[in-house]
Amino acid sequence: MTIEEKLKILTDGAKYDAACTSSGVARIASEGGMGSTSMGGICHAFSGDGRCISLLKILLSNACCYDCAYCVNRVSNDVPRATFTAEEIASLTMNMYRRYYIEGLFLSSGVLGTPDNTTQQMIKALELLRVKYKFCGYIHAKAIPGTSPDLLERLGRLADRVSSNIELPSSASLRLLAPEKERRDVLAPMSYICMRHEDGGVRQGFVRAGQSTQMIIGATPESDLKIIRLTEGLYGRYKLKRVFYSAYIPVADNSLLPALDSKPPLLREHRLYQADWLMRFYHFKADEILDESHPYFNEFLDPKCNWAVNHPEFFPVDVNRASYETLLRVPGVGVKSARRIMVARKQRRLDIFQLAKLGVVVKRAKYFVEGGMGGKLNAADHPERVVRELIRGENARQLSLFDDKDAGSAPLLGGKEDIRAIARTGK
Amino acid sequence: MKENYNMTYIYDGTLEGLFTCVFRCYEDKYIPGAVITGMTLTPCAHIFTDKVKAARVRRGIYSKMGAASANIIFKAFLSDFEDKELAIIRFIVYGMKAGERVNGDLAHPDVARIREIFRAVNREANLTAERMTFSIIGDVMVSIIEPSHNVLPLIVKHFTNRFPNEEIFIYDKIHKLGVTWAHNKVTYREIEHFEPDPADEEEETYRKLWKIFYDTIEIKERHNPRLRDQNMPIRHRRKF
Repeated sequence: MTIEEKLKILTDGAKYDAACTSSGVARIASEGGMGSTSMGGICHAFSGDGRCISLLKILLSNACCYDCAYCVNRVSNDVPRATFTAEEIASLTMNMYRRYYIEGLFLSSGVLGTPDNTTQQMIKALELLRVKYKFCGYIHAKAIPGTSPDLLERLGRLADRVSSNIELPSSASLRLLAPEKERRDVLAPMSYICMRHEDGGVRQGFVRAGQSTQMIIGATPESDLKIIRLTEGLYGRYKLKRVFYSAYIPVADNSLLPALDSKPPLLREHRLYQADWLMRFYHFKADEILDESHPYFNEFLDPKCNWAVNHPEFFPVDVNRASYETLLRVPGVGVKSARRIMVARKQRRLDIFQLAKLGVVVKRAKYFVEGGMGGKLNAADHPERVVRELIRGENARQLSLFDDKDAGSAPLLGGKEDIRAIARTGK
Repeated sequence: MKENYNMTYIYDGTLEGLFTCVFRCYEDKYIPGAVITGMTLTPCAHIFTDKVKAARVRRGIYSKMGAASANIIFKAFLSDFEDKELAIIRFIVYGMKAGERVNGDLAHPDVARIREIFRAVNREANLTAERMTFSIIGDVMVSIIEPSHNVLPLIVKHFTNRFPNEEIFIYDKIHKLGVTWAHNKVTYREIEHFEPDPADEEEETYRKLWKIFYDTIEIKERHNPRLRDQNMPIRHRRKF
């Protein structure tokens, strides 16, 4: 088999993994070595689906002995199989890295007989890269569930980031669709890495950029509330750097899964990322974003706007006095613009025109700040009109996110009642 | 300081020249309506670069406005915006009066404008440094870029940190500037035209492998060229 054919097969098997970040650690090339990493990570290109390409994302092998129903590489699937040698992986990585196509390597794999055997093969390839080729760029390695701790330790010293995929948002779904995978096998690498970090693992060069995970959205019946609570738990308990969500693309005709012609739930995935951001950077709790009586996201408003229109008592906010945390709650104000407001207001009083200069999206913020629209159109007094305007803006933004129009555009808006109903669908 | 919209300063396009213009503003007691490098038929004054005056302005910036402001001025000067000279002059004039306070006065119009320029330059530098690619031509890493500001000086360090033992040549086609990294030395040269040698077999092989990877990594069910083009404008794609 030629290297071209192998690359095609083993890229095809890896593409459903959403994690492509190269962030979390900064270093420059060591003596005689090649490669550096940057704290914020680097996107080198964007593929035809608009997703970023940062790392050479490949499988070591797709000859998997497991039979997970949702996975394209399952043993019962009739697809061509291939396995890279360590030398092939190292040489591909080095040559693409030197041409600056990629920021490093993302290495995952199907299970080759046993988890330990698979991890050993991965370690061999990474050792070749790090030792023989003196590669100092970014490496993201997948922890295969069931790998023994001593192999995980070796893998973690070669890689900057390690991830173990939780795959599905509940153990019941995992049991149903991935009979060979146990929830505790998935969580074991996570706890090990978390434990090592608590006793100084980062300083010893162990998984310096932290760990991440991913789950498939829309293959199983969990609610959005359940998913964001799980996410909150993962960030809290295992100190994960990122949780990724991957809209399920039908890859199998199985009565337990959505039909083959069903569309990936892209809007839902998008809303989950927005909620994820709110929890990581905006001091939101999962239960503030959704609750038992509204367990699904509002289709028409992003979670932050949705929270704002449902909490009129919180607004209008006085940007000249409000705390940083309060500023972060204002739609249209981001982390950077909130910081700029904190700095700039020490020098002079800020009005709505100056907010625009500080990077605030006035189109959204104006309904929620004092003096925003001369007191006329604000969220407290005219909730329907504000919701209508916000939805109009949201539709324009979504046009570029989802080429497919029916993925999530609001219906033609009718009277006040419709708008009230929409505002309530979330929370 | 008051403004004199009828006056245009003409300078030589160097930072020292611009600092001489600042000095002239204090002599004339006004800020001109425009500062350009070319010619004009409206009332104008030719400002001849004076190293002594420029050095005084530079010292004044550091002592009155601080190093952070100086950094903003240097980076704003690399921009291609037509109003960059005026924005810099206004910022300095306001900063000399306001002192270090100018760093936090983000909502003042003269500060807001130069910060906008500063951010645009930084953004373009980052985008350029992230999206460019190299071809390996005769064992030299070669790249041609077309950035919308003169950001080459800002991105070189990223590559020398990453590829310390390589030979690198980057050419900015828009600003006609080339930079070479070899044997631990960075050299800038103004170059009118540059045509790279054709790719050899190995180079073609890796371009082909990259194309295979690029086409395969896309999830076809999520095809969205609009989002891709928004994230990756044409000017940041490979030039040869």
